[in-house]
Amino acid sequence: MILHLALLLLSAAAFLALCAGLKRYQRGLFGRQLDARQSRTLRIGGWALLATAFLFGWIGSDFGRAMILLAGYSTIGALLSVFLVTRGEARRKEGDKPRGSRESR
Amino acid sequence: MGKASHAWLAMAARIAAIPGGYLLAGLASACLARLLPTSNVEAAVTGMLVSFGIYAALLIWAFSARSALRLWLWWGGTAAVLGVILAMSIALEGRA
Amino acid sequence: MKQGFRQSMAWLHTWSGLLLGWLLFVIFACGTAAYFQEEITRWMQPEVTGASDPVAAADGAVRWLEANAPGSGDWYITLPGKRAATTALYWSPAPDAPAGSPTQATLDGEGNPVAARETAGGFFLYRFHFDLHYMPVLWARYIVGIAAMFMLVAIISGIITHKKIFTDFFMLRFGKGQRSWLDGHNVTAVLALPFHLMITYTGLVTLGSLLSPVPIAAVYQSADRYYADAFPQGDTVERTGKAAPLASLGSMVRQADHVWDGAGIGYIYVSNPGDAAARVSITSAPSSSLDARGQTLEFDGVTGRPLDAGAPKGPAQTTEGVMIGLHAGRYADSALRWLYFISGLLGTAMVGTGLVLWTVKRRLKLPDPARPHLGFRIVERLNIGVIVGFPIGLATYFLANRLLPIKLVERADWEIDSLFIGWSCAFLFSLARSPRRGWIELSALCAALFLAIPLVSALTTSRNLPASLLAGDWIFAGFELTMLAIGGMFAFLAWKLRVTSSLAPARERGRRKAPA
Repeated sequence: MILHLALLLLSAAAFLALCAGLKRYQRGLFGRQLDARQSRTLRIGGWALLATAFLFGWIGSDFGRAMILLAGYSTIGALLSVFLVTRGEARRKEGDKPRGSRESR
Repeated sequence: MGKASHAWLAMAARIAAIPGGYLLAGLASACLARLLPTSNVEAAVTGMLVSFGIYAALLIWAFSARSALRLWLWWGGTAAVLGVILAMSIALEGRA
Repeated sequence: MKQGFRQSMAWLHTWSGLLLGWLLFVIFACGTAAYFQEEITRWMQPEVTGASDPVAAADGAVRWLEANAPGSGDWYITLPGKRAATTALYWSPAPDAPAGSPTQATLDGEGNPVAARETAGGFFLYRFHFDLHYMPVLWARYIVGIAAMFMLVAIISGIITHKKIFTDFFMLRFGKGQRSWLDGHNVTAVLALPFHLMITYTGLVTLGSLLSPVPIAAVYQSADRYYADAFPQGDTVERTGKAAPLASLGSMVRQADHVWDGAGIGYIYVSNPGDAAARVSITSAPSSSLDARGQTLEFDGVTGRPLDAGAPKGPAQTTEGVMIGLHAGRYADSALRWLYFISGLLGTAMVGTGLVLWTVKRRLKLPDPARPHLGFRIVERLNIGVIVGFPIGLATYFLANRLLPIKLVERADWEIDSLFIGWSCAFLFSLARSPRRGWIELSALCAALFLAIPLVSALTTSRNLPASLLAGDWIFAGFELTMLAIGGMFAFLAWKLRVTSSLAPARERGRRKAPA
């Protein structure tokens, strides 16, 4: 169980970092754009977290299983990031909207 | 005539690549199976495992090739060569 | 050059995805459900309770078979495991048995027939995703194989044509019409891309000897010779006609368990029981290893002593076994099984969003949106009929399990027929309504049916959701909660469609007035 929890958290963190490292999603996540150096750090950090997750999986079970678990938890981590970005973008839109406009969704 | 029928012919040539590609992939994986220096069952299974990948690659090729004529020339030529190799191998060593 | 290639791949992706998309949707939906087939079967037989011991189950099975199927040819015994609760028996009928005598039975852990309602359970959903129904299984497997090949080409061409696969990775914009559907299709496809590729290729390999006989025929003169080499334990030994009692199956099971260090027993095959030439083949549980074929131990049926193991499998055969294992996912523990399930749901959604995307894109290009051409109308109707219609069929299947009379003759077949009856009714209804109305009304009906499942279950059995939750019965509770979740999802869909449909005409009109 601990292994699964660790992989879930590491993958989620990894994908959030990778997502935050791409300019397109920074408005949705942070409300502003980050500079090039911060973006690169986030991307490197994301890949490092992913590698850590794989190593965890390899130590906790075996190579094959680690790949499978990583693929599965990557999906969950990525889904989480999509959810956060989408919510952030929607919140930003609501904030940008002038008063009195009709709600569209 | 002219352009419209040319387009239909080109499309037909590509659709024909669906069964044609299956046979070519079969030939290629069969030759592979014959030439692999492993046990019979290992060779047969290896051939089967890679056949789907070969077929998919051939279909991508067929539907992205700009000249259907050139595609079929390549396929026909390769099939002939593979066919000869396969026939010779079976004639010389027989089947399990 | 590059642009020509991407464009041709876009064309290929559209057609390889669309032509068999509806069949692929159903295959994906049922395959996804199949990851919990044992749990589904347990829910569909609420009379069965409790776990069992494989040794006692094996001995009980033999006692029952000797008493009820004397003189029969071969026995196939699948023992209960961590997830299934019963012992499944199949046997080839005795030469003097009357025609139509039974050849299968289900026993509980002690070897007594299970007094539960007859059902095909989750097993039907699993078989359906490659054997289909109402047709010879050979045809079905060829059709499914062709569909799988279409899927593989669709995935590969989709990857090639997806220009900004990395930067668009997390993009999911709502309320933007075609762009939103494309985002949805991209997200469901890319986020579980390794799974989709793996499941499609391994699916082909699982039916490999059927779909790709040419390389095998190049090496072997006949299929029988190939099977003899590939599955050496299948060697049949002739009956001697000399009667000899079968040695204790339970003790053979215990020996196998010891050799495999507790990996668990999958199934048992007994040839020539009661004869001097009896042989027992015990295969390890699929949950024990990635290789689906597992390991098999052979025993002499009369002495109970293990026979020679034979040569180990080579890398190609092991790869094949592992690929089948990856596809079936029987090795997976609880958490990994849920990951498989979620990935399968994403795959189903990928196919569904792709089908809808086709109509959304085409609608913008229609010269007269009030009268679209036949192809468009067909796709639109099939979309509703399958994407909402098939789930309605599934809900009907589960409801029928609770509502059909317990003692109904051929009850299992009637349950399956109910699935198709429900699906057909939904399909016909969708043909009678305008597409916009059809989506909303059928989604609402689908939601209602799924939400009704736990309710109907509570009214017709003693095992209801609150009781299951309190008792920690996660199989029952999990199934019914999942039904509620699916119902909720369709309710949300119906609500969303109602809200946006009133806005859609205005938006479309606005788009048409604006320059392209």
